[in-house]
Amino acid sequence: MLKIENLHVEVDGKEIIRGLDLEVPKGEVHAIMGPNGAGKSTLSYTLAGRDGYTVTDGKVTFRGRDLLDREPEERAADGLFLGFQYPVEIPGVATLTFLKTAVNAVRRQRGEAEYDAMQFMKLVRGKAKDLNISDEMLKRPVNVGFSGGEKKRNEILQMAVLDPAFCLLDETDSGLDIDALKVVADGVNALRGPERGMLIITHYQRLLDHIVPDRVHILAEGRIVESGDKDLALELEKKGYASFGTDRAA
Amino acid sequence: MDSTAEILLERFSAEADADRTAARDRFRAAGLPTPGQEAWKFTNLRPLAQFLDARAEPANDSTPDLPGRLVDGAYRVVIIDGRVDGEASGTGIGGLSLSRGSGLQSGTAGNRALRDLSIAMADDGLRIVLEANAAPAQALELVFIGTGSRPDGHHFTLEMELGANSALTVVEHHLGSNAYAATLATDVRLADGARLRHVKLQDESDAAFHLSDCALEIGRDASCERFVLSVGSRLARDEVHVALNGQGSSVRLLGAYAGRGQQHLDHTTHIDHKVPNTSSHEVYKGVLDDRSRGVFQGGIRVMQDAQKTAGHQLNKALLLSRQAEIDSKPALEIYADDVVCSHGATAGEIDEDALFYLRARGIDAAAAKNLLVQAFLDEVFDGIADEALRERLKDRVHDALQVEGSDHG
Repeated sequence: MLKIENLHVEVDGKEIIRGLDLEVPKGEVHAIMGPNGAGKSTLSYTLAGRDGYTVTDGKVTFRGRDLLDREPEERAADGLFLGFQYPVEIPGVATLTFLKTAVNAVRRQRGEAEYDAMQFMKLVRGKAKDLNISDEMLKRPVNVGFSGGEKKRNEILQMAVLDPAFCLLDETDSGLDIDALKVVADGVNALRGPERGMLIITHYQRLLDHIVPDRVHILAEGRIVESGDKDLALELEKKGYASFGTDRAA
Repeated sequence: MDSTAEILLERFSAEADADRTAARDRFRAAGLPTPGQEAWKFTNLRPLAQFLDARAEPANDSTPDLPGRLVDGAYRVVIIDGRVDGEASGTGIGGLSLSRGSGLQSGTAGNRALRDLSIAMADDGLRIVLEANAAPAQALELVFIGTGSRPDGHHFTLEMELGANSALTVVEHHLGSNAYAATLATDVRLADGARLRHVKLQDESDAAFHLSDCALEIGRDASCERFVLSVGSRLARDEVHVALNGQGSSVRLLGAYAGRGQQHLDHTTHIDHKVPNTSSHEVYKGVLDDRSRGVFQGGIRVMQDAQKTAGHQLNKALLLSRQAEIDSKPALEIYADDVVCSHGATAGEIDEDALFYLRARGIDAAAAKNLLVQAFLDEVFDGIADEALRERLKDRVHDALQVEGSDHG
């Protein structure tokens, strides 16, 4: 479903991703673990299409077509969803308005009929309830004044409403206490399915207690240095990042 | 006297009264304002001078179409090229009387070139008087249409007198086609306890000049809420001079503007707190695209006696292009010691993080930009109580920005 081959990415003239290969088939949940500065966020922003992340070599194929020549909004319409590590505050735009604009923009690009107000409210209310998101929160401007946990729950709500084919979650666990972590993990697990792929990017193993991955990859200095099953995360937790990667990276 | 002032005063009437003559003399002596004057530092009227010097042919004076009402059910007076169209009397609104003709007193205030010019050269005027205690539900809507039939300028004066404890909503809608210069002088006097809601939409022709001076005198416990939306004109200046004369008086000045192309949009305000316990609140927000330029000058003066004054002022501009420019000049003069005053000015570009966040959710770049621009401006519109009016004004500014914004991607 997502295939990354020999990817090289530069930010401000500095190479951050250095020959990364990774494939996530549909129906599988993969995790990427790596220390600070390994290139985790660079990878997620590159896949989502942010300006300033220059691909100098390599190829990314998503659902059978080249991903890298697509605009960010086209990638979203193709079914790629990035859950942000730091969700952005947007004063003046109500969360509901934002959700409705987004879901209908995606539906329009996919050639599907837009939701009317009633259909949309029904969809959102159901998903919001599962994530403990109140009506009051939906009326507030996007992420403005939200706690860390509320912001992450709001990311998962967007994901649930947009119903993407592939979920890319960038440090979704950062800034969460254990209760919030469980709510978020339940939200993610509810979306697991045979047609959907997921790539969970995280620094810590604890998220993977709640979202159990099919495969775990270790990212160090811009490339995957080790891959294995879920036990690799436990091994990493014991041995630390120092025993993987850095000595093997160029 | 400079040649531009000469052209503007050419049609001065030989039968003018003392007020008009005094205003004419003052305008003639001072000449057309130049950036050398502090109050005109950021607005250069050279394009107006060039336009008048060129002596454009009058546009064909066809009967203009009337726009839809901004306020549902409003009583409407139409002013075409500086002249009231029809009789404008007997509104049928209880306590409200209208009379035609220009009769503003010239006063002695210096440095009010636009007011002087309008009074000296007024083609017509309207006097609006509301009886004490009257509070008509129906709004008064003044539609000013410029057709370009008189490219050397058309001029109008407006007088509003609200009796004690009365309340009125007045809407001004300025629009037009072709090229022309329009000036307007307004005097508003609010007696004790009177309340005025004043909404102005400046949507003149893109080739027009719009120059307006509005003076507000506010009595004890009286209040004025003024909202201006500026989207039209190639060059516009909206001056407001407020005198808080009575204890407990208050004023709220709200403004929104959207500049595109080479538009120059100037909002200049001056608020005098003259007595204790008065308050002023000012928020102006603008979006500037292409090579447009915005000017905000906000003067607040607190007299020595005016203790317990609250004065707040905010100007924010969003620049959508590297060639767009905002000049913002707050000026606080405070002679009393027990006051709470604040001012702030910011200018910024679209938040790239927010833009990417919206795009990552499937919203295309142009729509995402529009959403952010609307969100930026909408805060000011929240001050408009009438929902239908608010939505119409919002739609107008969103349309204005969207048409031009689409080719920037």
